[in-house]
Amino acid sequence: MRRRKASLLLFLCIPVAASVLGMQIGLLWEAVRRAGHSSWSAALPHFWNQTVNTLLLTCAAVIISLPLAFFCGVWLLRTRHKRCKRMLLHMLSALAGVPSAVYGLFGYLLFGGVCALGYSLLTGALTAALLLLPTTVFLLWDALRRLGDTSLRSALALGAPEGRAVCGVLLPQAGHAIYTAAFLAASRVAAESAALILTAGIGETSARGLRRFLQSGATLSVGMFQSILEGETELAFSAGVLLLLLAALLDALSHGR
Amino acid sequence: MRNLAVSYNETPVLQDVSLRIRGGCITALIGRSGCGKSTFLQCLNRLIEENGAAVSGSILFEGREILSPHLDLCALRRQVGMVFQAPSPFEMSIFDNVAYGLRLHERLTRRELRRRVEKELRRVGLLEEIGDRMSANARCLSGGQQQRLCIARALALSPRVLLLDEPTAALDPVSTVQVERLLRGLVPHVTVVIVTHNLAQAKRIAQQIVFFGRGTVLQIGDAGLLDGIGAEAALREYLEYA
Repeated sequence: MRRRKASLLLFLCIPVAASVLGMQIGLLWEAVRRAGHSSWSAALPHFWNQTVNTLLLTCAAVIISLPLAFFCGVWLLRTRHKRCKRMLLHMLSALAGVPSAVYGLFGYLLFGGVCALGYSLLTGALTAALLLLPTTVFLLWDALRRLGDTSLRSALALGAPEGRAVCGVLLPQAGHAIYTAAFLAASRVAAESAALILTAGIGETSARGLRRFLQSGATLSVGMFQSILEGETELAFSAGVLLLLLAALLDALSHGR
Repeated sequence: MRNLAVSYNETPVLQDVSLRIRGGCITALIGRSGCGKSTFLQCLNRLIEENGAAVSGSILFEGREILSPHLDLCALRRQVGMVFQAPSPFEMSIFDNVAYGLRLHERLTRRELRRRVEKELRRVGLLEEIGDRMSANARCLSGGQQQRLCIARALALSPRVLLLDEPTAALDPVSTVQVERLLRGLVPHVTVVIVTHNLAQAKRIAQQIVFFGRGTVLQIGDAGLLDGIGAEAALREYLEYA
């Protein structure tokens, strides 16, 4: 009887898994098929701009959010203030469920308005960093809990001040978790659109170097939306394929360590 | 220590503990699980406060009150080293593990640092075993080697007291013998306080026995207590299960 149930379950799982895989392959095939060839030479600088914007904004967002998330995770691990800890965890859980468009509005008001950064890659990066915080905090806190605190206590037992123990002992130990969290966060930011439309804007960036961060610039996902709205489906699918390749690269890198 | 008491969220764990640990010898803390041995041990270097415990009473170390809020904890923990039950090498090389404490507290040249690290590794019998693999990650070592590495790391700071919380619980018999031999070699220069469930081990190495029960010290004596000589009822009952 049990064997029959197990066989039935397997029998059901195979077509479901095959359907999901088939859909994904079909979508990818369709995207590649529709990606335009006729306008590639004209579109290349445009894609290059968007790709650079995506990479810069992603890196900046991850660099801003990861240290904050790590130290927040350490505080959650080490704190004795149970009430504050519970409050922070509830707040982070709530923030994790907030739609990214709302983050975009908040980022537009705070960074774009109050901080007078306007529409810019920097505004987008700061907003994306806020967006990433709840997820990365939970990821890193969970990883730190699994690591256990024996090494940290051993460092404290050797007379290390807490800060040095955290940075010198806990941080290297959490290296793998931080590495994975960084690439997961990067994938999230690269695919983000709603928050970035409202903060990084949809412009074509022309500045070079760090001044690029102070200019408005569309990322690949924002560019994709823009192209669809303007009726340029070939460009949209091309941007989609580039995003897929970027996501695959980030995923490969996250498993690389 | 005098009238030492420890509690977590107002739940008492240790109460009215008063005893004197003999310097220059090995003191074994024995008793049932949950009776407060590890808690007591962690009071001696105030690591218990990291768990959020409230400690009251008095602990004197070389005439100084170590429960004073003005005490330099880093300096105390340099002099009172600790080794935990589970081997906990840091995510760094074997060399850097032993050098960690030295780099924290002393300014040494590279040559002097290497000399000190090699001295401690030789002392715990690791130098011959690892050979020229000092730059290898410490986690590549076996459990017994990792525990001896942790002991070397603690001894590198030349502590006056070494606290060990069931250091051989996770080790094979050969590694256990190696650690016991190492501990015997430390006295009388270092005072050793060891928590152990292994009464045979306590008999082999300890000169002073402290028997814990119900969150307090029930009996203190020499190693003869483990043969039942002068043992009170509670200790005799505990020894029957051994």
